[in-house]
Amino acid sequence: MTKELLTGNETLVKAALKAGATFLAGYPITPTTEIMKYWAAEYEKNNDLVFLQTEDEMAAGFASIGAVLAGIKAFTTTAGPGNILMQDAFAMAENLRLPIVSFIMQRGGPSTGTVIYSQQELNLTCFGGNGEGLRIVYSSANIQDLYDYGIKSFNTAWKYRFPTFLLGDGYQSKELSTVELKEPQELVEPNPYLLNPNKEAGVYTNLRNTYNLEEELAEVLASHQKAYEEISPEIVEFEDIHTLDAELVIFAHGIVSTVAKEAQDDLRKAGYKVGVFRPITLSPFPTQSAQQVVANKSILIVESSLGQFARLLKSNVQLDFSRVKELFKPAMGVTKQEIINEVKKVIKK
Amino acid sequence: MKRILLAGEGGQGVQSIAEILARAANEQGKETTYIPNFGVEQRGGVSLAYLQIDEKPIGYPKFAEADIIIAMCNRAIEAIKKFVQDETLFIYDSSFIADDKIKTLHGLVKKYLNIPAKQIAQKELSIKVANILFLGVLAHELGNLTSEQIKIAMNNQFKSHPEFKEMNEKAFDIGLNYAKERPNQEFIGSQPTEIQKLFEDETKAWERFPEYCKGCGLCLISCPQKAITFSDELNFLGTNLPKVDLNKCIACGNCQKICPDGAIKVTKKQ
Amino acid sequence: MNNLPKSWKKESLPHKFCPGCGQALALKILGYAIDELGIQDKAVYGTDIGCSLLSWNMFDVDTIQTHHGRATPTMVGLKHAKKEAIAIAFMGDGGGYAIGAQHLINTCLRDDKITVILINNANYAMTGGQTAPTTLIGQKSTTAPKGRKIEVFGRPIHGPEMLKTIAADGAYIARTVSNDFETTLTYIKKALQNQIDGRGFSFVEVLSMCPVNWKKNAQESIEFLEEMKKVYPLGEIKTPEGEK
Repeated sequence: MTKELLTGNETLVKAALKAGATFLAGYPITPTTEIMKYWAAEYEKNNDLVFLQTEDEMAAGFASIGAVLAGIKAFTTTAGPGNILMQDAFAMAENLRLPIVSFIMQRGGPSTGTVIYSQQELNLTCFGGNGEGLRIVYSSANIQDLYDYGIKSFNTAWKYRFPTFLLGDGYQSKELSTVELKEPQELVEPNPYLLNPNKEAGVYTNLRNTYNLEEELAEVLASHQKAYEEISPEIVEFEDIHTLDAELVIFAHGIVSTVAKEAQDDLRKAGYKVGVFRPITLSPFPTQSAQQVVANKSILIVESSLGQFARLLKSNVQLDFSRVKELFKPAMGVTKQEIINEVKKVIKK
Repeated sequence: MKRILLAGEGGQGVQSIAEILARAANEQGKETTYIPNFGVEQRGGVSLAYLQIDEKPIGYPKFAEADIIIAMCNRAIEAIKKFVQDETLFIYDSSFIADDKIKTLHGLVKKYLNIPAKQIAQKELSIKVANILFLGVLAHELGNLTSEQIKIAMNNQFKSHPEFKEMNEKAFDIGLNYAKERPNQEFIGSQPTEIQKLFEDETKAWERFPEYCKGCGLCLISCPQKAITFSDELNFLGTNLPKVDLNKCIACGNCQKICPDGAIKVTKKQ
Repeated sequence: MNNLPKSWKKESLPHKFCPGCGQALALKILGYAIDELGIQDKAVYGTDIGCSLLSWNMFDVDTIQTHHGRATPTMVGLKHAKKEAIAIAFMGDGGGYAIGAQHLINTCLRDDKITVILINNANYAMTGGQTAPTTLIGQKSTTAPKGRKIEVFGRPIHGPEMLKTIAADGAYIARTVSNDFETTLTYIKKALQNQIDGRGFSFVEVLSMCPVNWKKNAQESIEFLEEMKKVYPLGEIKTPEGEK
């Protein structure tokens, strides 16, 4: 295991390679562009890799689907308006339960917004497309997460066969920091959907995403839902920091949770009973654990969006709204002091 | 309130009939809704129409049980079963729907009206107006709508084809009278007829496949010898099968090549 | 020659295309091409939206039905991931010349070694006959009830000619008509052979009858193909360099 000083984007490429990925299709968009640059450099060194700079994000998404169908660990990466275009491909991957892996590094929105940072693509990444959001979404808090969950995304995708997303942001993309490049304990092997060398002679696979009758589609969706519910307990991840005796719990995800933890640390030292609950999987949501945490406590929801995470939390967990406070900073970083100030408005030492 | 479900092959005119009735009902001051339900294909595949006519406003355009069901093709039978209840009147084309399909409805369907629509249409008018016979039947069964009003709506629907007006009206009247007289009312369907598939002589064999043929007529026009014409026998869609005059046929294979459905096979013998 | 290609899935018959459909005819010819080249177990058939999706289970060939305009990039991705595969992208005028136009152009520009077969029936058929990029001037459609006007819809697109200007040396580009069985079979085989030999991108546009949306019978639909040929000339628009 080595420790290296890397940017988030570099780390994602290392994670993908370590996971056994051999295919990237993408279109340049800030803040993910360096991912393509580093992968292109790797491709020059190793012609077994495939690198496709496509004409747009729709082509990138569908080309990645084509590679997945051929049984290759393929991934793509995008942000902002590119994320919107890729929903076309992601919706098809949802319909067919294809293990396409995508690194989404959020930037300010809507529309071109900023190229910098936000947490405003939660809706799009969890529920984009015209389906029900049967996707797996990891929210990374720092560069180490980008590495660990970058690798895990491939394992999860190929083991459970749902489109899998690593939701990061522009700060993490550009940040330079140390990462431990651990060897993964296990790697799930891919296998082809089409042209499978082990298939029975005379038997062919015909895949479609269109159905003729309402009943046909309803049946497919019911089967997807059942599968998703069955595997959710195995996939769900979260962090629970000192919530047991807390009077107030801060709910945050991604990079904001690191700031929340710093705030929590300071507050505890100053005598405030504060905890932090951080979902690592936004989808499936850690509903059971979160539900247990909220009883009889004040809640502070903090995010760099106008409530996308808050809405996700409220739709999964029963909350006493009279005890919920929200700190929304759409498209802007949240500071430790801002969180501390909000907490002090609610509880006493 | 009348809930009418119409079911037929896409292209048989199910939606036209439903729309005509909805417009006629509206003209007569009734409340009506009509919604089509179909798959992606332009043609072929079961086409359903949900039609409701009432004195008071209707909310939801679909329904789970029907008062009247019209079935115009074999594939419709499975689709309509769940809509049948004790009072449902089941009206069907007994000359085109197979008897063994009708048998699956014995015990389920309590009231029926058997009309050999395709047979009558083919013999007396044209197979194209088979669906209009059902319009005439419905005009009789829907006591609260006048035939004259339905005829007006029908002629309006097809006003871009005035050449069919007379035939449509004849077909309508035949259907209306049939519903009045109700002759031969057994709950049976058509028996499988032995259709000659193979035409052969010493030098060649020409085979047709009724289970694939859609009656498009490309084979007729592709034949350099004009050896192919339409027969009276029907393919699975209920349109005419081609037949060959072996005296004219030179087994060039053009018909086999041009058939988009692979419904003709030509073999030259050694 | 049998009445049906070996590579057609018999359990899926009768297929869902309309009576007299030129697209179904082209697909039958594609089936014969796959038979004669012996690529049933190496080919992947990618189909677009529109009437082409009705062919999702037509072939005993591994198949993926994709989104509108996206058959091309899906096949490109698959071909790059698995070079031995024979990737066939099948689509209509919308999937190739409208919503998928940028994919078609860039695939040709990159010389991705896939085979694109595009059905030109001068309308958007599955949705009921709207104007397509290939609709003729003056031709009526549901979105041009008085006939296509240049001011509203622009000019008809000449796809193969356009692709020729950006194609690489090894590309094969042709236009044929579905009721010419022999030529269509020859061109489609040559297009596929171009991929098998690894020479370059290949593209065949097939003028096809659409009697239902053209509101014509068999005879009239064949006659309309003659009208289309005047606007869209047939032939091998580009053959690969160094072809024997």
